[in-house]
Amino acid sequence: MALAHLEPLTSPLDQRQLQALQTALKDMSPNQIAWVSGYLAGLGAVEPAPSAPPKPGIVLSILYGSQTGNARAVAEQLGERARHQGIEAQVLSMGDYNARKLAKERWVLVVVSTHGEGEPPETAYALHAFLHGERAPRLESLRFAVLGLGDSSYEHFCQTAVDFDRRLDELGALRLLPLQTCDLDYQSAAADWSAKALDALAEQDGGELATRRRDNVVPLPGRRLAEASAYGKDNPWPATLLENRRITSEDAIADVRHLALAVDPGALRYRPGDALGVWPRNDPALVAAVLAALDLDGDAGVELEGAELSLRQALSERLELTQLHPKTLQAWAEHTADPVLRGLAADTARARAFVAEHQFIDLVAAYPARVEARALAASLRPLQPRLYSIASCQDETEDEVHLTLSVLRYEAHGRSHLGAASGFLAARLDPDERVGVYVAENQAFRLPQDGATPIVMVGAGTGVAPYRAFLQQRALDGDTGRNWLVFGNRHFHRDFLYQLDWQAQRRAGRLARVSLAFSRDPGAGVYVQQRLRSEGRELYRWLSEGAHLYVCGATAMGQAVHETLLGIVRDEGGLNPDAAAEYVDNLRREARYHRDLY
Amino acid sequence: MSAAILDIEQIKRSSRYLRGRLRESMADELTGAIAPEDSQISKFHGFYQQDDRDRRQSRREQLLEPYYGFMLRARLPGGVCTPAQWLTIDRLGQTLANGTLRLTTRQSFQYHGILKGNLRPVIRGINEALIDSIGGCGDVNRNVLCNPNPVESALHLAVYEWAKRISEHLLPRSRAYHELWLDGEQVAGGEEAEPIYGEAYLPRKFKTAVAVPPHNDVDVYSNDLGFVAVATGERLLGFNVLAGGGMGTTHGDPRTFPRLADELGFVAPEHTLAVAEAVVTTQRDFGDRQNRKQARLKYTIERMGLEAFRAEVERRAGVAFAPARAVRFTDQGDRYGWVKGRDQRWHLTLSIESGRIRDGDGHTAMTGLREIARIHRGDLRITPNQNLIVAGVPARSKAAIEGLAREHGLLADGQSTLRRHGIACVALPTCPLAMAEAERYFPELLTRLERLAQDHGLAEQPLVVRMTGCPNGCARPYLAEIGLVGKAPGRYNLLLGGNGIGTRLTRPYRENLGEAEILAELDVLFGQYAAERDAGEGFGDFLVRSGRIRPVVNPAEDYHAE
Repeated sequence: MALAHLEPLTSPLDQRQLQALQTALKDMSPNQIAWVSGYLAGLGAVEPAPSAPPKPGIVLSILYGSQTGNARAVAEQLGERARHQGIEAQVLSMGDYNARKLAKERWVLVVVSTHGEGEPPETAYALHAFLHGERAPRLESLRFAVLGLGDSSYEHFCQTAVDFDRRLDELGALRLLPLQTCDLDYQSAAADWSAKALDALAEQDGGELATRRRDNVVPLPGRRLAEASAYGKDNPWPATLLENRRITSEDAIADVRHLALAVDPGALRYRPGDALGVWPRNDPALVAAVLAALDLDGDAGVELEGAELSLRQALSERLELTQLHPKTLQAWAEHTADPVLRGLAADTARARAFVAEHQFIDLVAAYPARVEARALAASLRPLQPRLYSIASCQDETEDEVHLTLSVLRYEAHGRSHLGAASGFLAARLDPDERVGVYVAENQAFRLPQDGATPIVMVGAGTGVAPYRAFLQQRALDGDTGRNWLVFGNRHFHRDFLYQLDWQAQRRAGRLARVSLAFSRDPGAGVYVQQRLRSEGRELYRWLSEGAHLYVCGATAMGQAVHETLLGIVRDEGGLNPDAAAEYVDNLRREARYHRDLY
Repeated sequence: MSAAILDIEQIKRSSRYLRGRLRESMADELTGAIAPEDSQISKFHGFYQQDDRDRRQSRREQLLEPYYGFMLRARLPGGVCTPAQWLTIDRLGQTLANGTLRLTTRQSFQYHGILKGNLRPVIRGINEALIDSIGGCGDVNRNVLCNPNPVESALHLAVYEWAKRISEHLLPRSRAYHELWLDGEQVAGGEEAEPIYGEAYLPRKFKTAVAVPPHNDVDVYSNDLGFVAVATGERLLGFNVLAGGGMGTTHGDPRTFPRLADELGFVAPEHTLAVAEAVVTTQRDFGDRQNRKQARLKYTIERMGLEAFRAEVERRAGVAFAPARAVRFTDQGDRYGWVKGRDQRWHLTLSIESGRIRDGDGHTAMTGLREIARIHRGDLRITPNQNLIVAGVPARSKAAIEGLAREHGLLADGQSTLRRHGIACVALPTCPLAMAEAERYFPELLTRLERLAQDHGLAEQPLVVRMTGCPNGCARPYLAEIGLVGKAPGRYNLLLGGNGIGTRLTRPYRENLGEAEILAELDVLFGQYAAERDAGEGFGDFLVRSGRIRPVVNPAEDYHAE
């Protein structure tokens, strides 16, 4: 229901007008709505919105740095909104933006997310590095505002946005608005900031910004660029599960699944490197346990974003139960009034350590409190979709999307725990049930344009997933570039994910080189970075021949590989540390060093 | 491509003296297997490619290749090793194999489940303890058996020295083993000659044993080449030389049969090596290289005729055989517990069920043997019945060693005679040849047979029961009193009529029996035996005397006659 999604961010109506519209339309049949839309269109034609004729001038640049697509969505909605208000705006990925142009810009709005240990998204890396480098230009004529997206459960919350905001100021640019940082539930804060930013522009531009005719079409949420899918994060495609196959042996530590989901290829398009966003539903057993622990009635009503629903449904479909957030911890500390817990919640470092090792059920079991249903709902963060690298190439699998996921399952604090999405997909989803999914594009993790370019694919654990898609795509395209797989996991015999696939690819001549690292095999266990180190000469040779380097997997692995890469470039290239860093930075600027870390 | 359809003769010939493409196979990380051609060549280096057959199907579904691992079998003439060597063997088994050791019917030990990448460390590890695995498998002379009886100590030592010399003399001369696994250096000019074997080696495997009467624990008649020590007191006079024994058969192929070795005659000790070499080279030149199922020496002798074969050996060795001396065998099993040697040292024979040494599931045998090896100053001897002798213990150390053996369940005390004399081969899940269970199932079957024997008042009667998972005969079922040869999962051929001293073959009695049928058949025969046997008469002898089993006289003619 599109109406349910109407919100101030995507419409010219304010909250009060929106509610009135919703009330008016609530009971109408589709026929009646169709008639009303015609009526309103006619009304609009009779009384055209007052709009000035277009005026040439300087175009507003909205730059985004996005990893999972959220920052991009906010930036695009901001662009739509600007155009609707008659401001000519261009929305650009930082990855496609020529950094030197910044010195000539006058009006720039920045929307950027932060990843891992305070790192910029891959596409933002080059611009970020350029601005912080010695050759960064003075930007006295630039006016800017920065919106940051992040997750406050991480230590370096919105660090990249902080960096951009401070650095642009240091370079002499004029700040239109104070930095706005947004947490996981960023929508309303982002909408408010967008409105304020456009207001500030209108007040201060002195007429130099180019204008256009005001749009009289309200963009609906979920809308993307022309070729993009109609289905997105807020309007997911209802997929069904075709296959759920364990691909680690019975004695493996990790239970890794190969999943195939049925999708409509007309509705959902993806490319190798993209991730699939999955909206999980919490485990009914966990919901029941939370209700029982708090002695609450699941049928009690709660309100979420203006809608009434039962507490059980809210806990099941709308609220985060497995990834405990520091803010939930703080809220719960208030409810319990327990001095120990309050002390813990107030100490950022300890709180962060606590949430990393506990789920909400552990918290309420250890620190009981009596709360009302509504207070509980308000304490919890909104449920977020989980992203999984896609392991298939759509040209190969068409109406299927393949995922490789490790089922998060562990015993702690006297009970068994299951990851929300991995447990949902691997253990609870029935074949006839639907799961909401969408494609999270990852422009920073693409195969080279030129099929003759060699690639080095480094992946540990489920980080190998996108490479399965890569090789499928390269096979279909008849690419001649050599492929080198560097894969690591615990045991050769137990968790060599997709071993038969790699063997088939090699038989077909598509895997020129394979280097493996199994950390717990008898004898000397090695990790991918160690293995890569021992192949340093070969890696440097491939890079010298123009190879693209891909790294996918856990953040810690990615950092270790990065350090190793610097060492290899130093030793093999005979470079000093600064020159080696410059070499690696160049790889990133040339979009030849791609990382997808989580 | 399966190895079976590759021409093994061609692979051997083009292997450049056992090198093949093993270096490339080892370097290929994407698979835990080696190339099919190399899995033939690897046998000469002592290791076999295997996979966990229980898990083939599930692994295919998991998009994983079969659970490949390697079985590596050492060369250990006479089964003798020092405690220090044992500690190395044990450590490698714990760290680089599947955590177990397997004693074999050829007095050696095997590792199972070695990952490809760990083969080199394992081979280097045993090499540091002065043990190798050359010819552990493959178409060459295998580990040389020698009666491990240390009681007649001077005689045993003399015979054991000959076993070692035979083993050394018949070793391949190729440097491939050292080149691939040890120093890594390639010999200048590459290849070397094999004066005994030639570039194609033998047509088939070749087994040698040395027996010291009256004990026939080595089952000397089951070997291609046998030496039976002839002595006065503890002085070795020479050997009766035997040739043409062999166990393996193929189900449904009447041209295959087990065979006892023939006597070639007596030679003085100094002719031992010349005769051994002459038998080997005769087999090299006259053996069948077209059909591996007719390639063992036993078939060569059947084709040539014994007289022609003996003449050829005499010609090649430059030795004339004297008539064989009379010898007498009394047993083919082990003597458990303590025995005292003439040198006043004590020897403790331990009981190792099916030769499998492991910890876990209530077992601590691996730990127990390690602890014994730490305090023991004599040597350790693997028996052809897959047991272990702690040999050369001074009287003062007896209590400590026995204490450890008892603590870790290594003594045969309280075991039935049936269990004491039983042998089973490895079979499922690792052996690629197995058609039915053996090692994993044998203990259960023995429990039921014990009950049956007890029901018929036969609990004290020595009875040699042996089980294999296929007809190749590693546990020598063709020389048991009750032989069970695997045909299909849960199905065995029942063989009867051996005499308990390894000098008469069993004959197929019933085919394709399940457990209930095996027990039913034996129930009837045990009942008759208990009622009708003569004093001291063994089960096999009774079956033959009473006409229930017609003895095998000339297997080429009469083995499949019934």
